[in-house]
Amino acid sequence: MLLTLRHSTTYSYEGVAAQIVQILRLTPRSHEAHRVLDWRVSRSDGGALPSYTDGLGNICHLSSVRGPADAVTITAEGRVETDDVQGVVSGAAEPLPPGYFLRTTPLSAADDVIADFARETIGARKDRTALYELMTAVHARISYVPGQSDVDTSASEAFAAGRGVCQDQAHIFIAAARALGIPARYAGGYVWPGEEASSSQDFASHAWAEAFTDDAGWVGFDPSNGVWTTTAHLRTAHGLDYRQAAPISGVWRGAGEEDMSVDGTIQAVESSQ
Amino acid sequence: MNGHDGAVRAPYEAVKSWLDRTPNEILDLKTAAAEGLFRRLGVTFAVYDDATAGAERLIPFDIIPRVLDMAEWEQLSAGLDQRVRALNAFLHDVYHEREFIRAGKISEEKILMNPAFLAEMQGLDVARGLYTHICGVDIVRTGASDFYVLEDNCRTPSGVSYMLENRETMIRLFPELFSALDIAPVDNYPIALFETLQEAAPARAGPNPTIVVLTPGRYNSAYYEHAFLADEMGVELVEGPDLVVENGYVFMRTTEGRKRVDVIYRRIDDDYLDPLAFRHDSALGVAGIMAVYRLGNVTLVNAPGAGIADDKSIYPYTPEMVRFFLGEEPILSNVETWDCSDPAQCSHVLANIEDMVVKNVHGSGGYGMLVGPTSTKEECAAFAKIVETYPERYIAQPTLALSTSPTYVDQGVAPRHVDLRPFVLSGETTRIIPGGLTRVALREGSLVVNSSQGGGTKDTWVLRGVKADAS
Repeated sequence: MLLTLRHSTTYSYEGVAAQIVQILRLTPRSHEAHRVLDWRVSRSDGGALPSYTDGLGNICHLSSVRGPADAVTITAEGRVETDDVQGVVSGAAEPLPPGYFLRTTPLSAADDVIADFARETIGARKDRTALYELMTAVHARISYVPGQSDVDTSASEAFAAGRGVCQDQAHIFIAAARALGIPARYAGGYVWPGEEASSSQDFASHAWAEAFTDDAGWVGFDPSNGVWTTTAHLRTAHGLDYRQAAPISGVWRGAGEEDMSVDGTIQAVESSQ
Repeated sequence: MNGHDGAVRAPYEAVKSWLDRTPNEILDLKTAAAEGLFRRLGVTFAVYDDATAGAERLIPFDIIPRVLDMAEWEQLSAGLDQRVRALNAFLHDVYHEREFIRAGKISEEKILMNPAFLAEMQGLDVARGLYTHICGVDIVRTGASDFYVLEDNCRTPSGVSYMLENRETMIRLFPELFSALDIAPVDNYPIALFETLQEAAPARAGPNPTIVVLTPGRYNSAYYEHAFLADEMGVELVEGPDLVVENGYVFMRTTEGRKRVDVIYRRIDDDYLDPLAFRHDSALGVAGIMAVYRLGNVTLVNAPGAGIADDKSIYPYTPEMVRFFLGEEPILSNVETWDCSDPAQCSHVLANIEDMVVKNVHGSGGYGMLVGPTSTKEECAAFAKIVETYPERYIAQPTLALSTSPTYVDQGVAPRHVDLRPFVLSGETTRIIPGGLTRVALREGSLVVNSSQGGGTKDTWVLRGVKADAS
C-alpha cells in the first residue's frame, strides 16, 4: 500500500516562549515492511533541524527556537510504501539486542495484577500466536476511552482503570510481555484509519507495541485495534516506553501556557504490484 | 609505615626522623594552623544525612604525610595506566559491538539490565574513543608490593582539590621538609586536566576549543572543587541555565553574547544531565545536550554511561577486561569478590558475614554497607536478612589487612588504615599526577575512609629522594 502523509503539530504560547528545544522522532526508516520513498521534516520558521540517529536507531531531529515566539509548527510529510508482512519487523535498524527491551520503566512496569493477567493468558508460551492472544486479551480488557488518561499514566494505573488510549494499551501489553520474560517495546507512528474515517479531524499519531517472539523475532501488535501491524501502520520510532519514543518531546521557557494542536492527512492507495 | 618485619620502610625514614625530633606540642600547633588554612580557603564538603542536612564540614586533615617511593609509584602508575586503558576499551565495546559479551566473558543481562548502561550512548563514536577521561581508582595496600583496586570511579570522581590543597597546606606548614626532600609535585594537575579536556574536543572545534565546568550548583557536596578547578584552569564555571542548545550546538550565555562550547567537564550525574534524555523533571541540566553530543558537536567529560564500567556488579570482571582488550596480564589485583546474585556465593557470604565487607552494588559513598569485623552480631544478623531478601543487590569481599600510615590522633602518633585515590587523566596520552588523595580512617581499627563516615585525608608524597644540596 502507498501511504501519503502530512502531519503538522503546532505549539502556541499564550504568553511568549523565550526558548523551545524539541527532539522530533517523526521519520520512518526503511525495513522489510516499509520503503520510504520520500520524507521531509520542516519547521514553520524555516529553521535548521539537524538530524542524527539515536542509540535505539530512531532518526531524530533537534529543533531549537530562539524566542520570542508565539507559535511554531513542525511538519512531517512524505510517502511510504508498505508491505503486508503480518506484523513481522525485519531488516530494521537494531543497534540493541532484544534483551535490552526487558528493562522496565515507570510507565511500563508490570505490577502483580498485570503479571498474573499475563501468566493466566498465555502461560509460558513465547511464540507469535501466544503474543497475539495476549494482545487480543489486552484489547478486550482495556476499553478505548480518550480523555481519561495522560502521558504520565502508567500501565499499572491504566490496567486498574480498565480503560485508556492507544498509549496505555501499548504500555499494558509491554508490561505483560516483559513480566513473562519476553522483550517488548513501544512503537510510535501513524495508522491509516480506513476510507470511512479518513477526515483530517480524525488524524492522530498512533502507538502500538512490538514483542520479540521466539519463532518470528520482532512482531508488531496493535492492542488498540486488536490486530498485528498491517500495511496501514507506519512506524517512526520505538523505545522502552512512550517517553523514549514520543513523536515530539520538548521543553520551553517563557511565560504563560503552551497549547498543542495537531492537523494532518493520511491517504492510502493499494499498490499495483 | 612499618614493614612486616617491624622495620621502618625506607621511604618513611625521613618522616620518622622528623617525627622523632618534633614534640607533640608542635604537632598540635601545626594541626591547628592547618585547620585555620582550610577554613580560610573554605575547603568543606556537605554531608548527605537527615540529621545534619545541608551542613558543611571540614574534612579532618592529618599533618603526617603518607609516603611512597619512586619504585612503588612506578609499579602503581603502570598498573593504573593499564587498568584505565582497559576500562575505556570496555566502554567502547559495551556501546558498540559488545565483543566482551559475545566472547562469553560476561552475561548480556549483567550489562543490558544495569541502570548504568545507557542506550542513549549506543553506537556513538566519541572523540578518541575515550569515555572516562578522569578516573579515580581507589587503591589499598596489604603488603610491600601488593596493591589492590578497591573500586574504580569512572563517572564524576571527586577529591582532587583535596589532593592539591593538602599539598599546598603542607608546603606552608613544613617548608623545611620540602627543601630537604625531593617530593614529586602535584600542582600541575590543573594544567594536565586542561590539556586532557582540550584533547577531548570534537575534531571540528579547532585548535582552541572552549571548555567549561558544569556544576549542579552550590548545594552539591563537591561544589568547592568544581569552582576550584574551573578557577585553576581559567575556564568558566557554569550551571545548567547558563547553557543553551541552538542550531545543533551548545552555547554559553556570557556578558558579550553567546559563545559556542566544545567541551563540557560536567560534574552533574547522568540522570540530571538532560531532561529530554534522562530524568525529565530535572532542572539542573541542559535540554537537548545529548542530541548535540550525538551530532558530534560537543564532548561531555566524562561520557554519560561510563558508570557501567565502575558498577560494583561489573567490578569482578575488570581483570578479564585487561586480558581481553589489551592482551596483557593485570598489574593491579582485584579484591576477591563474591556476587550474592549467585546462590552458592551468597550462602558463603551469609555463613561468613562477620568477617566480610558487604556492599550494595548500586550504592556509593560508604552508605548501605556492612563491615563485618567492626559490627555487632546483631548488626551482622540484620544485614544478613537484607542480603537474603535482595541477594542481587549485594557483593561481598574479605576484610583485607589494610596497610596503616602513622597518623596524629588524640593519643599521639598512631597507625591508622589508609587508602589512596590517584587520578588518571586519559587524552592523547595518559597523565597520572604522582600521588593522589590519601584517605585515612581516623577511628582506631576502622576500615571506612569515606569522608561522610568520619574519614580524614593526608598529603601523599611520592619521594624521589633526598636533595643533594640539603644538609
